[in-house]
Amino acid sequence: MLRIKSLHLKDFGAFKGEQAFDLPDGEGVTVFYGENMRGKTTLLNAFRFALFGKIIGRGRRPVSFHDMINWEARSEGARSFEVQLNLTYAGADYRLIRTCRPKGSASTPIGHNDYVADYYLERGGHILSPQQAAVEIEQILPEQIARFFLFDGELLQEYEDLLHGDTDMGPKISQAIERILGLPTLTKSRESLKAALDKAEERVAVAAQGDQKTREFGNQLQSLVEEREVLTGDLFRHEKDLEILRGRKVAIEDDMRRRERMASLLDKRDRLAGEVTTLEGVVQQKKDDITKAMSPAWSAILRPQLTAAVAAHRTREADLQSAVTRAQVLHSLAEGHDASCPTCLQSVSSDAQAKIRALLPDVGVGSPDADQRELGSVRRRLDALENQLALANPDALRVLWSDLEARRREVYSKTAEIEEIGKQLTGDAEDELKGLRREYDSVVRQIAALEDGVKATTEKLATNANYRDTIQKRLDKLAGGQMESERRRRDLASRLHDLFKDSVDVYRDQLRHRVEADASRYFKQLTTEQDYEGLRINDSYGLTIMHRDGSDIPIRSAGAEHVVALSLVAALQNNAQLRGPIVIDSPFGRLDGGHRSKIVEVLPDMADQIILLVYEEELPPARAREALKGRLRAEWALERQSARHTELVKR
Amino acid sequence: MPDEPQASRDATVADTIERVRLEQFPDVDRDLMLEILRLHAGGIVADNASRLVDEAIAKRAAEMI
Repeated sequence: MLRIKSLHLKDFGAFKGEQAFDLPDGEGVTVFYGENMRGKTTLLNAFRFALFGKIIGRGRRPVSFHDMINWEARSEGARSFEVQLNLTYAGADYRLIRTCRPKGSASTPIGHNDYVADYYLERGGHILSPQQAAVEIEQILPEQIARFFLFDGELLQEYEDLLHGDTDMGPKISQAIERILGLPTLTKSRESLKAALDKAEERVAVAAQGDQKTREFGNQLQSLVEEREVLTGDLFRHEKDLEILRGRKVAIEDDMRRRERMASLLDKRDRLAGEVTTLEGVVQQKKDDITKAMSPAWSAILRPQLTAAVAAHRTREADLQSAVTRAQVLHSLAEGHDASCPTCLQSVSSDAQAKIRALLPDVGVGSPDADQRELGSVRRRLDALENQLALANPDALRVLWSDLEARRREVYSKTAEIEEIGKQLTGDAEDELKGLRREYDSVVRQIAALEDGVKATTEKLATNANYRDTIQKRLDKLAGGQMESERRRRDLASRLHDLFKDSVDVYRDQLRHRVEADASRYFKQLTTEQDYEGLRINDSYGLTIMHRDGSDIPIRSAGAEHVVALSLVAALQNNAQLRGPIVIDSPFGRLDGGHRSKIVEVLPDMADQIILLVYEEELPPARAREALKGRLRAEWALERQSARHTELVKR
Repeated sequence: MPDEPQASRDATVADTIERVRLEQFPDVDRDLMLEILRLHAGGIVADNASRLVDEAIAKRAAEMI
């Protein structure tokens, strides 16, 4: 395991003169606080410079050595800078010193090319030869995998390329991941064994050709070996092409999966837009209804009087109706022939009819006609009063308002959903989806053709192997000592090659599953979104966020990308063959408070030694102390002395 | 953090290839397999690795007589 003991700087960037810091022996986090432009990124670069002689600026661009000499020191005559890294690895103490100075030919250096960076490496106090030093540094921390140990937010963002097969960076990161996970040990072994196997088979043929008894078979075997080499070359090319095409196919599939979700989002957006249009019509209708209802709203203040008037009119209506009915009955009894009483059904005599006629009122007030006219008048007034009373009903108005508000809320909600979908849609999704499908069909056809070619070549190789085997068996019957030993050698090389070949497939598959499981576990601890179920890994180690309903999250924010990348880095550290410190520059820039807290808590589990370069607003010291507790090993401040001079001060 | 048992963490390259050897290639010599792994440790291949592999195979083949 690699551990950093201390770092010493001399006129490196903002760090004027000689400055240094030690890292505590125990496991945990050391935090360096510094405001912008105080030198946090320079500290990260100090590690890069010491190990690899490189300094990287924004946009992954190399920084000129000329600009890295402390400005104040340079104005005082300094012409060089130096970084010394003291570390332990595999039980040995190392001291790595890299110095940048002007080339002998550059009397007045003005640019990067006027400088040279030399280094030497001590192990246990002994200086190693340049060749040995290069080998040791490659073992201690290969530059290819440095991205997993020394990184910033910008570097974390690059991991998204693992999801896209058409980027240059994706395959490079995939190779770096396999490197840190230890796969090259197997793949390089397999390649060496293939070379050994080919040589062994050639030796068998040559040995056979050297003997009179076996020469004929030896010649045939030699021809078959040569044919095998041609076929193997073809197969190698086809398989390489196939690997590229399959990678492309996987990338297109990933892309299509994301875009198919886009298509469903487009459908949803269109449906919602239709619903919003309908709702807006309903809202307008409701507004018109309310406008109409508002006109007689003033009469609500007369509602008690109106109610009393309606009641009085109803009473009068009942009285009049009763009088009119009584008069009609009396008339029918007085004037009718063979009249009978409507109550007792007995016949009414002439005398009785005469008495009834006498009771009937004359024309005028109280007469049946007058009552009938008044009844009609009372009913007309009653209708008018009831209409006015209905219009003056404030409850009905409240219902209309409430309904309008409900519809408006529905419009707002659907509009917000449309806007949210709009954020997830980019470009001409439909055309891009069609283009992808065309490309996918083309790639599938090319793969099929190549697979046919591979199959045919493999069959030829199998036939070739059968012939070689047959000849070998015949040779075995004839061969003497030399042939026997060469054959044993070939058989052993063949078995070893098959063993390593199978192991590469098993190990790669195993690694992907382990990285996926660990990254998912870290991700669930780091994310604040409860609906996310975990991460799914592709063949290139790209990670897709999975929703708990099983669907993929096609587009993710820069913050989410950050969290996914940190989950991957943590999973790789967990499974790495090489363990070492992590130096992170401003890791929280794109994250909210919830994510920051979670990440700080998880950081100490990612590596034994963590160096965190932050500004105080990004991670307030109180929050760091509370979250890290005993795992906070030390705190340093990057204190401003001047615009061109920062001092490292232990807190 | 990940509380997966340490045992599964130890499934290193050597563990994996040893498992494949035991299951499918029990006739292959374990020491020779480990020697080849060692020659390619960390994915770093020395210039003479091919020769050393060849020699290791030859030596083991000679011992099989």
